[in-house]
Amino acid sequence: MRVLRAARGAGALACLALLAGCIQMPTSGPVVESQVSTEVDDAPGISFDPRPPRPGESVPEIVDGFLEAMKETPVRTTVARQFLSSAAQEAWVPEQQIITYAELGDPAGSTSVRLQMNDVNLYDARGTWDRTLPARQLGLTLVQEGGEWRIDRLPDALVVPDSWFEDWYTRVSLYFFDPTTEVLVPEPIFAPRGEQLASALVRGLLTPPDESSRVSRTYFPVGTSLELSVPISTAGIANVSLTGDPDAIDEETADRMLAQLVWTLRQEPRIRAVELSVGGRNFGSTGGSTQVGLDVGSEYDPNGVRSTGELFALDDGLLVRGTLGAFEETLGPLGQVDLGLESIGVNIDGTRAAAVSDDGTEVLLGQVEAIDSQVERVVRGAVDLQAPVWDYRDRVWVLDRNGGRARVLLVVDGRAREVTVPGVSRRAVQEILVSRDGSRLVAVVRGEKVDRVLASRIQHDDTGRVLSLTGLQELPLTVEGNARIRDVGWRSSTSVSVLSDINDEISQVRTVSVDGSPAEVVTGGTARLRGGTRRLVSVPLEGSEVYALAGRSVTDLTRLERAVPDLPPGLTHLTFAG
Amino acid sequence: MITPGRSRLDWLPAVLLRGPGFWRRSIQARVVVSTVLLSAVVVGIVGAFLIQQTRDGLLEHRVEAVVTEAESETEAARAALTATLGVDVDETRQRDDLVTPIIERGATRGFAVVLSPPIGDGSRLAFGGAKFTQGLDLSSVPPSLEAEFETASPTSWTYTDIRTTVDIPGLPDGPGVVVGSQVRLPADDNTYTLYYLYSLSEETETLALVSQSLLVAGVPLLLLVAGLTWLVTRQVVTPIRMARRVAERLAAGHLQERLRVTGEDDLARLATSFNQMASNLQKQIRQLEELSRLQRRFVSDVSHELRTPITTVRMASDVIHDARPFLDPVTGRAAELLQKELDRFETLLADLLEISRFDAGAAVLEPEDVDLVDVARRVVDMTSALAAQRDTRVVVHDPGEPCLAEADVRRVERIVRNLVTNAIDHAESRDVEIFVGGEAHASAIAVRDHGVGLGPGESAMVFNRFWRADPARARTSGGTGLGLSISLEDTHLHGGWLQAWGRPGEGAQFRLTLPRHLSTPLRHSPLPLVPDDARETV
Repeated sequence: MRVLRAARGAGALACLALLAGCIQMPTSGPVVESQVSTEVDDAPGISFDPRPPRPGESVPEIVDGFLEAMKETPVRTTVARQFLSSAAQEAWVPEQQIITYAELGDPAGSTSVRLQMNDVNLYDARGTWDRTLPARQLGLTLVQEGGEWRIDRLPDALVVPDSWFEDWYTRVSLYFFDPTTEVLVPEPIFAPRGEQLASALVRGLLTPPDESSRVSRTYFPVGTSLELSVPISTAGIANVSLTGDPDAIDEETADRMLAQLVWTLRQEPRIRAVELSVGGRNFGSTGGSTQVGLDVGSEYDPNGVRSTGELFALDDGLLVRGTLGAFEETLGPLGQVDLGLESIGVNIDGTRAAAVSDDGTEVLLGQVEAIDSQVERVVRGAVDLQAPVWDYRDRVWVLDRNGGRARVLLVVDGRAREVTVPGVSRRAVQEILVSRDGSRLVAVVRGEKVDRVLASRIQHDDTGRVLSLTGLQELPLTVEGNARIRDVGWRSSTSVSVLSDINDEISQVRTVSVDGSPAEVVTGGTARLRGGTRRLVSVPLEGSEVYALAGRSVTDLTRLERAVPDLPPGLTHLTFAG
Repeated sequence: MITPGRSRLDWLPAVLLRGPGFWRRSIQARVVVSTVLLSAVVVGIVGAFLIQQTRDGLLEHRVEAVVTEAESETEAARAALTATLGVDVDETRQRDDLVTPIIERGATRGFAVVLSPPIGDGSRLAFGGAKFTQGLDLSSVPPSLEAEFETASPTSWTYTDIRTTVDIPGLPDGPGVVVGSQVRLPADDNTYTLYYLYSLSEETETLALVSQSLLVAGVPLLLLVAGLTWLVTRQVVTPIRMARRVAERLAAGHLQERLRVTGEDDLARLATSFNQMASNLQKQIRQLEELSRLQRRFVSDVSHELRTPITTVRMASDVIHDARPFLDPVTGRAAELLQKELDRFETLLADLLEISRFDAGAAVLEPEDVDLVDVARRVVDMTSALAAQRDTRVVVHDPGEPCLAEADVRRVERIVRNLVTNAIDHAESRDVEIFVGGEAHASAIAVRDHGVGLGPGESAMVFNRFWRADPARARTSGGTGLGLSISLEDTHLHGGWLQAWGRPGEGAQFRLTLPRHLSTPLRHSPLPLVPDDARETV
């Protein structure tokens, strides 16, 4: 009986095993549509979908269609390529250059078409403004392919109208290091707006600057390139995947790459954090997280690390600090002893001040708050000194107008020396500005009728010593009314505001980029002012106030509706730090 | 005796050798096996249901996870494509840049990726142009899914059988899920399908583990059920078996046997009732036995008591009979009648006494080797007068060899004589045949007549005391009506058989079978009960 039961048990087991064996993971089944998915076809944000070539179009129609198709938005050249011959489709590299024009003439010629373009601007592959030309010819050669006219030879460039370019490209900066790797130096470029902005920024950053210019350097190793693009997640995380050798990147390099990347990408407002990977390896913050926040690299701030937003002024010749309507005395010698000061400049963190004596011949250096400190006289025997300016290395730049033969003096560690600035030195210079990162000098040069604003790059060696100044670039200012310039002031690290008179009553403030590219920088503030405005008080800090002074009355250019109290009597030379 | 066949079967369990009989007889076996089988079926069904549910749950969870992951990958890919520079027109590089990071992520997260050629021109993955994880066999993507994505479609998934040409870590061959979704490449404005292949190996392992656990749990459960059932049925069956044994002993005559009563449950009450029934039966049987004993005693006593007067009457009758020549014819005739009836009366009395001896168990055998052929011849000689008187011939079919049996020759002769006399009585002048047969274990003698025969059911009644086939018919041979009864008792005394066959109009046959040795039980008779000449009409 035991045997029988065992046999039955085995049978039952076999039955169970059979049942269990029948239930296995499936290897086929119906195709199931996912419930949460989105259709693939809804490509968002197409604003202009150009018409592709149609059969039998004539040469001028093809040319017109091609030029029209390049205005496809968001920026892309898929349709434009359809106007090209198959050889040209392969060879055309539109990302090499952007050519913008204000006006376009009619096509001339049968198969070799020429078009006249006016007010042409050229931008390089990175988006840097190159130069402006009053006119240029656009040459296109057409061939017949399959009975249809197609463009066969054309410049490797995107050729678009100015207005389209302004609509679809935005002014941004790429951040490189200065030769000392102490501070980041912004380089203005133009990049497509919208989804492509981050990709364009990173691609621009990966295009190395000219190291021989001794202005800036990058820490992205040569040979790294962007994989596909820089997608930004809904949480605002930008994923930067680069190709390259991750072993070539040490921790220091990675930190600096991240600093450059974060400073560059923070211009895309959607980005909250950045993820960097090179060759598949993540380079995150030192804490181990793969994401780095936008505060990374703040120690390389081009506007100085501990910059103060306070106002400084001279109250009856004594240095005071505070805000409009609430100035307090300073405890240092400049604030306690009447040394007969005419103008002042305070360093970026607000601890030291350089003052010009009331005869304009001497520069005094002193601590702002140190009670028993001494005043140092660093420049003597100058002729007509302008208020000193400071850069992040606590160097003092002073312009000695010198009666139309200007000298630019640089005070480093208490010693002054003259720096030759081509196109500025020995000229009638009204005013100079030096960017806080110490990479740019902007000068207002008097002309016979027209004043000009010139920008120059300051070259350093890697110890930070100033070598020379180079690359003089005139900033474009449309002349309107009186061409005399009253004052200039930094609005950002790459743009300056220029105050000039339109007539005796009305003044205007225009902001231009220091790279010389055309078109004003949009600041969102007031551009026109009434009532004899003479000075601008500004600072290149984001969200900071910009004041225009007319006598003792003060106007806030960023918020015109704000009631700003008049300056108290005796208060002169209002200025921000730097 | 050991034959090769039996030695081969010896190792088989008795159950298998005696299988059907054992199966029929053992309630316990049937209940245990049925319960175990039923439990096995139930456990099997429940187990299958559980496994099915587990499988569905695992699959649902896995599919949800992989579709979500695949969609997030595709979303990331779409975001990356949206963010590409519009002037970048190198679609080959763009495809590489798109799929390479996904393939790399797939290698670490355990999925394979296929980027199809542009959709819409009817091409299939097998035609080439796809970029995919190295080592993947493209036939892993089912054609149904490919067909789904020949036009722009939302994310879809299906099950598949993953095949690889080279081992891919984290993606073994076997069942899997393939998720497809589409992206549009800005460089050439074409739509491409991304297939993500995920393995179901972990789920398969989990399912196997669950199945194994169920199996491991199911076997002891079944054994437990078997044990429980065996225990329960044993509690029920054991008293029944005891009752059976007691009933068998009761039937064998051990009327004092009783069941042991323990407890007060149903079985105890059954035992009590059984015991009561047995007691009642015993009482009745005792009463009957007593009555029967009294009856036999009475007959015996009467017979004995009659012997003395009958002897006296006999002597008186002998005197009268001897004086017959001196009597007038009427009286002489009466004296003759008296003598004749006295003969019959004495025979009857002798038979009664013989029967009484059997009833009292006083009959004793004096066995010796008897040749039944000799017995037959002697009986024929003895009855030749009667046969001649009835104009009947008695034929002995001699087998030509002695048919020996260990028997009391006097009693055997009496049996055969009874049978032959009976046959002559009913032969209606036809021949009476005597067949004798013998073999190793038994010998037999059959007496066949061709007279009126026996009616249906009469063949069993012929051995009853004073039974008569036709009550109206006279006893011509002067039989007492006890002859066949005595013969039957004699036969039983030898441990033999005495059987009758008859059919109306076809005569009758009586067969006496005796064992060769007294102690050996009979199994077979050397002669047929139904005569050969009657058999074909059956």
